[in-house]
Amino acid sequence: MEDLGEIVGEFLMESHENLDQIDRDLVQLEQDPNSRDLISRIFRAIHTIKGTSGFLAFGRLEKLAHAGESLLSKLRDGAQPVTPATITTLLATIDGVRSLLAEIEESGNEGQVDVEATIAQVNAQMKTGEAAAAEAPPAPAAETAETPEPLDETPVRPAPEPVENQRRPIGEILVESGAAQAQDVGSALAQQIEGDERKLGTILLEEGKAQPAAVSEALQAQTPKRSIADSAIRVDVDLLDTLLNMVGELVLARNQLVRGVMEIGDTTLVRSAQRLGMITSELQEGIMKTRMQPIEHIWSKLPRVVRDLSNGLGKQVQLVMQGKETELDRSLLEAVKDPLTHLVRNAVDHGIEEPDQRIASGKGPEGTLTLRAYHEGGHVAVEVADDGAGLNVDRIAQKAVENGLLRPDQIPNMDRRDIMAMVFQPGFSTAAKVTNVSGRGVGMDVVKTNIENIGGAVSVDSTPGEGTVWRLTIPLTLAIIQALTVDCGDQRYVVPQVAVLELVFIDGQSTKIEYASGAPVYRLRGKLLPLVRLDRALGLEVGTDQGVYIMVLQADGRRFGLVVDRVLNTEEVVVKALNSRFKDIGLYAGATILGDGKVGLILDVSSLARRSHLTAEAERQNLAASSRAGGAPGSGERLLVTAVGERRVAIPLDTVTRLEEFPRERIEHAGSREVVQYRGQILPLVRLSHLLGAYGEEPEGDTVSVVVYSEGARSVALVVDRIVDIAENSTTARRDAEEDGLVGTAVIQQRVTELLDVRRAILAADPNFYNDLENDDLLVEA
Amino acid sequence: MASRQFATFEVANQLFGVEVHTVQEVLSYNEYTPVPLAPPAIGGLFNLRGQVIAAVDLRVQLGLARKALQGPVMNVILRGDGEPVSLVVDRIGEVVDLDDDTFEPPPDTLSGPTRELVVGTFKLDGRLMLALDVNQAVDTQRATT
Repeated sequence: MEDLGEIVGEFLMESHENLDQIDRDLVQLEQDPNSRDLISRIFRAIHTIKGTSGFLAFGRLEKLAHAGESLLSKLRDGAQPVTPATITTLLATIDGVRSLLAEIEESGNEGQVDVEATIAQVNAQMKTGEAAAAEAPPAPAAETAETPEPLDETPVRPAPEPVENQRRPIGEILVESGAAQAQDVGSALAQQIEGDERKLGTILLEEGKAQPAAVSEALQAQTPKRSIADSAIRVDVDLLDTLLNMVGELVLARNQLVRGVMEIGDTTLVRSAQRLGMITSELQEGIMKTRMQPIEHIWSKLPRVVRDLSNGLGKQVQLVMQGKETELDRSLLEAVKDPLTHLVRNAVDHGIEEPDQRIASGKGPEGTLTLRAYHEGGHVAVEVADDGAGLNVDRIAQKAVENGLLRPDQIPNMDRRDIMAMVFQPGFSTAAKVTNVSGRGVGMDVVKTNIENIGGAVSVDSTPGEGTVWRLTIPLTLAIIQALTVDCGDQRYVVPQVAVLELVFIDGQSTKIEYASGAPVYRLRGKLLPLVRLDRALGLEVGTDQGVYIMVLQADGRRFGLVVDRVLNTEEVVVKALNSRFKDIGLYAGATILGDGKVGLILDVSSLARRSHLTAEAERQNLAASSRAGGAPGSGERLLVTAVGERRVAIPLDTVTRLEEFPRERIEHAGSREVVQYRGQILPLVRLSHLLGAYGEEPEGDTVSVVVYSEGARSVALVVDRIVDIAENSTTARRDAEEDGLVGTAVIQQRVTELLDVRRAILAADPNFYNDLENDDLLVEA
Repeated sequence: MASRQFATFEVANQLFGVEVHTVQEVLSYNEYTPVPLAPPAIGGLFNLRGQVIAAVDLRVQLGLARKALQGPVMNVILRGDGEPVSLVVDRIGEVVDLDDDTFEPPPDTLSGPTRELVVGTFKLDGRLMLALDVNQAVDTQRATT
């Protein structure tokens, strides 16, 4: 029984995959009714299901699959044309198969699922089709009926143990393709049996019995059959989750170890710890990758959804998918599935107009719905774009006023996109008529909630007459996040780094917290930033206003400053879900194990903002102010951002003379220093990774990236792992460094970046750089 | 005669017990992360082999003042509903085999928060053990004032 259970399980899994493929193929077949490839593929898939269900004694399933197969064979033989009605019938058959499979999965047998109605439908379709075909000239039927016959036999998998997975003998392939004679292959085989150790293909070639091209072709034909079966295995998702958890633990253990080792300061130990760190990072990355799946997995059901829906509504919709291969963490895919389906349904229902309406507005009768997925920073963006009428901003505004969400006097000053965003409010619908698909005002707010629950964001933009774009921004993964650790009172808290825009140190002199009728604010580049004191928000003793840090945070479209006592460092933390008993507090997004082994609470930035009564209105004024101020050029200096190990180090751009890449073998040694010959000079190198004590090994590659700094005739080169970008520094966002070789840290492009002490770096490369030496050639003292 | 095994522990000099099968382990731990704004019965969070565990202060649940979580504190880690949860206690006792005939319902004179947590009394040699309702004992949403 146990064995049978496994076989059935395998059958179910395989069939589900097949059915999804059939769905897609059927929808495509409707577009391209003459594609024999598609018909054959669908036929084979159904045949496989039929064969296996017969073998496993699922009688009704076999019967249903058989009915579908008969109809398909008529299509294949050209006895009947492919019409939308046939496709509908076939899709209904597939649905029948699916519900039977679901029942089998549930109860282990076929249960009470009725198949007769569907079979009757299929039979009726075959009759009408025959009648239609009889009227039409019976042209290609006879001729095509012969060729596809072998399809019946060869590709069918005698499940559950596909023979296909075995390598086909090369001789067989050669004979089949006519590249060799059967008796030649036979005699070559006989030679092998007698002890000839050459390969069969070699024997044939050397004896001139086959062409080299034909043999190599046959060899290729041999291999792919293997690769599909052998290069992938099925792994239980639970096992992967366990592995992921364990790697998470390993990351924590590594952090603790590295910290401990650093304190001891033993160089051998430090090196081993760094090595461990590297391996752990790579392992973690690898495990994360195993959980990544292409977004195609959830898109695959959508062609069917669009077809059924547009047929039902009398609309013509073409579905275009771009970026199918974009990968997302499995758990995120699950979470995105429903919101995405909802957006697609909504776009077909409300976005794309009826054909006559489209023609009236000068468009083709067929609307286009585009799904697009792509990577963007640390996120994946998924867009659902239609070329329909677009959102009616006036009506949304009007509706928002009716529902009391906005005041009439607010409307004129609002950005179009802000008004559009009103559709994400609960109970909001502008649909003129309510259909069974959408328009009841439930949905968009659920979409927003679901996406925000996984740390993503959703937005909408629309151009009247041209269409609407719904955009989901989804984090790559849930389990591990970049975070800043901060101190508040005597406790340590963790703030997700995505929310952090910049950091400001309040010394009470040049930067200070002010009060507007009791509400703390900070003047951030001339604008007032509302402040939330973390200690007050957490109900702790309220500290002073001096010597504290403001974290400028962004959440839910609000910008505010969070006052904390100290900002420590940035760390990768593994998010642990918090027990349900903490849900009601709402301030915590989860917990994590900090480097010292203690539990740290991860702050939920958006609920902090909500709890502190930061209204959306305040932000709107803020936005208006910033758009006014936006024209002024940024006052910050320009920085060259480089990567050194896992750290980001910024170098003031005005101190940079050139960026160069040197082949690794050009690095020579002069004394204890590394140098390269550069423009007739000896250019001393300093590795920032050594200077800053960054751990991690040298990056792979044949070249090294260097930043060349020159003054007068002297130059030095700073070796970095990678040049990342050029960015503008908002100078207020820095804090002073506690580490040697740095002048401070700042948040640049939402990442904490260290500002290099250039003078010190240069002196490390060339202690005499700033000495006014007469002899310019003496750059290096050996 | 049916008998059951109880893990016993003391809080404020009273002996309590929970059935052994509800207990995952017993350990002493000394670093707790307080959770501001959490229900008062939450003593804090701690790291049990990488798992974040909530420590429920049994004293608070019994209507007493909270226990200062300084220095090593004994935790009785209960399997809980899906995730382990810890009960902070004063002292760990023995595991005892108790016959059902030593059991009596809680005395009528027992009142207050303790009454809600206790399912019955076992008469041991020389002292009484109160058997706790595990689910009630770790329910921090209970109105504790």
